[in-house]
Amino acid sequence: MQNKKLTFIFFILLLAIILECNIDHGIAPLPGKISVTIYFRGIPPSNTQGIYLIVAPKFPPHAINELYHSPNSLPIDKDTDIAEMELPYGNYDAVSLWWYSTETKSNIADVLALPLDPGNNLMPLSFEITSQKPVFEIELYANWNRVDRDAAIEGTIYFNGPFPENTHIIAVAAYQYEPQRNIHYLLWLKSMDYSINKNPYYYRLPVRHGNVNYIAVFWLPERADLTGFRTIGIYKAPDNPPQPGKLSIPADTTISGIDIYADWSLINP
Amino acid sequence: MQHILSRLLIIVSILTIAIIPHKLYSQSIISGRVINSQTKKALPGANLQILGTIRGASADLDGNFIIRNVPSGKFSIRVSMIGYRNLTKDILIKGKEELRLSFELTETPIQFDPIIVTAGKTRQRLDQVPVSLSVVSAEEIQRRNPTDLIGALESAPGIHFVGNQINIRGSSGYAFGAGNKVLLLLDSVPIHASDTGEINWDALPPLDIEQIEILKGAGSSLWGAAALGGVVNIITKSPSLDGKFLFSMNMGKYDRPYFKEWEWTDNERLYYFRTDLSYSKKIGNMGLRISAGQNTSTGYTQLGDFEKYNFASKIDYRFSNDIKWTGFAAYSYIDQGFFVQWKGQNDPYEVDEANLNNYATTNQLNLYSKLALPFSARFGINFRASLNRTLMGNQFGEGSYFNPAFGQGIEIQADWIPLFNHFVTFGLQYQHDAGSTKYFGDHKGYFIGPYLQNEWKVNDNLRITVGLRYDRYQLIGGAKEDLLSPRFGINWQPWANTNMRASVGSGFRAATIVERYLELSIMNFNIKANPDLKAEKSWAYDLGLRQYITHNWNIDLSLFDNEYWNLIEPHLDLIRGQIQFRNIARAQIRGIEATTTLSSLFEIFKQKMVPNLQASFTFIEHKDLIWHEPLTYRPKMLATIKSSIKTGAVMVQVDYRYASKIEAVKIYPINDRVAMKFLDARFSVNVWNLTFQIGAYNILQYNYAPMESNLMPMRTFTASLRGEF
Repeated sequence: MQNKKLTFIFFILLLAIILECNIDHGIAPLPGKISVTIYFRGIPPSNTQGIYLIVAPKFPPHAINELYHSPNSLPIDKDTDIAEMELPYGNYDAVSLWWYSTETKSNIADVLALPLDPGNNLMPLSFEITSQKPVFEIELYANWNRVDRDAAIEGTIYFNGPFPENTHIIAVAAYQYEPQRNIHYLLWLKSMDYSINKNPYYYRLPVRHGNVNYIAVFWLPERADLTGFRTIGIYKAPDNPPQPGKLSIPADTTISGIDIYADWSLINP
Repeated sequence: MQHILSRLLIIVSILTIAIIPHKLYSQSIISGRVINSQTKKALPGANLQILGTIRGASADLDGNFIIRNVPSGKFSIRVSMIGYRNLTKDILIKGKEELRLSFELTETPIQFDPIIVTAGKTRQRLDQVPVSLSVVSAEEIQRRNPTDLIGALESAPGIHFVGNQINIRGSSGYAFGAGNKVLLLLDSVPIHASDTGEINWDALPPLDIEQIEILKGAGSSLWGAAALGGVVNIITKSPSLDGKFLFSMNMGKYDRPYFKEWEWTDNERLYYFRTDLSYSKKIGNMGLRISAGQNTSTGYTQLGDFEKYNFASKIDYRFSNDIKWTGFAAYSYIDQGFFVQWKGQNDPYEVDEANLNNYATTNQLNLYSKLALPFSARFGINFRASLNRTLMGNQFGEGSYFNPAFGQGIEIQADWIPLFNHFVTFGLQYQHDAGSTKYFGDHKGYFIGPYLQNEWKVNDNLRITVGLRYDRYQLIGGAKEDLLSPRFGINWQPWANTNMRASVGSGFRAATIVERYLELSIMNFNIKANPDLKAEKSWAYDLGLRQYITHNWNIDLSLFDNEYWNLIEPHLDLIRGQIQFRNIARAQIRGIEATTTLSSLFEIFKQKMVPNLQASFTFIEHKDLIWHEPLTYRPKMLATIKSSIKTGAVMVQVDYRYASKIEAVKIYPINDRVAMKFLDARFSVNVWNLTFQIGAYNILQYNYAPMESNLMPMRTFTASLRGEF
């Protein structure tokens, strides 16, 4: 009797397994895609490692690994190219083209193209992929000059104390204009160095010639997302210290002595 | 310092060998025969152990055995053999006498409480140890017919593999091929690579395995470094009494991907083929086992192809007065592609064209030598010396920038029974590791650790175990760490069918050379060195109950709580795009595990049917206690069901493995993640000395990626032929 019971249990379990397993097949191909036609202007800098199509489900992104990223570099030797990337159904807050240098790893200064929402220039262009409209098509305009850095700024950053223990990144960045909104930190960024690791720190930022109206030192604590950068110092105008210093840099020129004093009290007022 | 210790150990070994034969003295002799209770045929190889002593013997070809030098007293003698129920008899030895005994063992389809060695570095019954431990028997390995050790282990309760990294109750996560929180032992000798700490699951063929013991939870109080999250001890078969030739041929054919758009090549050509040969024989006092294997596969993905060869040899020699020497050598050669990540979710079996040359070869040699010296019935010494040599080359097409990594180990262990109810194990272990490549430079380090454990049999129903180990880890020219690993355990049998166990013990693992010093760029990621990594430590609490519902149906419940300090995990810097191993200040993994095993016997139309079932469920709660987030690459739930029905020469098996969705990952959290649901089935028939088997793995074509961008195999049809002569 007991053996029959055990056998019954055995077969019931087997049946349950088979029924349960038949529900789905796990990971499946992505059903939608974005199709991007890219128009290039200028010529790629010699230190170009590649360009990658990036799609952000949320903007600003919390982390770079929350972005959809094309597996390979798109061709860089064409005037026009068409690239596609498979995506799941959903809403996407931004699409962009990122430039990777052979000299440094990807950083957020190297956005080559970022289309904006025509109705709201303070936000990137968002789009949706649904079962009714599984393909989203867009045109991107990539200006190689944006990443062709033919000039440089250099100086020393002085900190008024040791780095906090929870420091993740300390960066120095140069902007065309002083950022007012989140998106400006990307759009107006000309160059960034996030390898600051000692006090004082000598920096050299390669930039595109032209105007640099804002140079700042940022601090990012551990575990903070990309929106968590805090300003701890700016390059101040020598003749009007509270105001940001402004520079006009000719091509093939390095401007020296752009020193910055970083104040930790700004993150713990 | 290590040279002085090495020399000291060698001198002690030589002196001991020289004096032992004179120290042994004649006492009583127990002889007899072990037979099958039904067929009355002899059972060669049956194992006999006089409990409370270190005396034991194996039955010869005719089932006869002799145990010499048995002291006076009242003892229990236990007989065990795989496939048979253990049998214990009480004996009384008065003065010098010759006692003759006969044992009749009864066949059992499942070995419920086998003899294990991993819990206490000595032979114990599974239901009498204070810790949670699972055993994968040779029969089960044979039934599952795996092509590597992962296949033998993946369906054990509480086990989950992420890539090649074993997780025992969620212990390891995934460390991108560097560091492993589980200690792998081969016949109780560590065999992990000295530089990476990685485990080579192709080190020896499944054909040579007697059983695999999986100790769950920290085991550093006896096993030292690396036994942070558990211990896997592969016990190899001893040489057969009569000449025995084994062969096994396995072939597998990968099916087409479930989704037509995933097809990347002509799937008709995707297969694997594995052949293993093994011969063993006893010649006088010497036993010999040699084996060779070849495993070739096209892979089921681009870069999934490999060629693997392995050779193993085990020799033992029994001197007079029961002194026994065992030597083992295993060599494996692997030439394989490295599939780091898929091209995309719509091309999951392909890699980026730029990575198509990612091939690497690995050569590994494992050697050990053991000497067992029984001074008396109550005192014996075991010496172990081991050498591991691992050479990786052609890593990612950058040429041979690797030099061999060497690991050398020496251990002296004494087993002492000062009183009939105390079993004391103490010893000293020394391990020296060295690794050198252009990616992490030249580094050397060593461990030295004395240990002591006492198992106190308070009465027939209660055993208390207390142990302590001290380890000094010294990275030459670098960090030094001192670690204490205590342990306390109780095993209580309040009723005949009930066992309760409780244990608390600590574990540790020092960072490997690779985790500290590796600097390497792989695709878009930089791996960054962190020389300041501290050793990770844990306290493991385990409370268990084993209840026999009937004599062939038991239930095992376990509550576990592992508290970690400075857990070493890969950290992804999301700004710089670099990976660095860092310490997580506090982490916790706790949960519950339930396993039931039953075997039955009944008749349908006068045909004997033997169904077996093992089902297990593990719930794991894991979190980083500082950031209050789940640890990466660990599921919350695991379940396995292994079932079979045997009638006559025919057996049908169905296995199901489930793991809930991995809670968190490092690199691509936006990738689709799903639970694991694998259903396998096999049908086998025995004809003469041959076993034919056909099977299908992942019958339901379930697509599962344990880590990002890496799919497990699609449905695979298998066929095998195994013979024993």
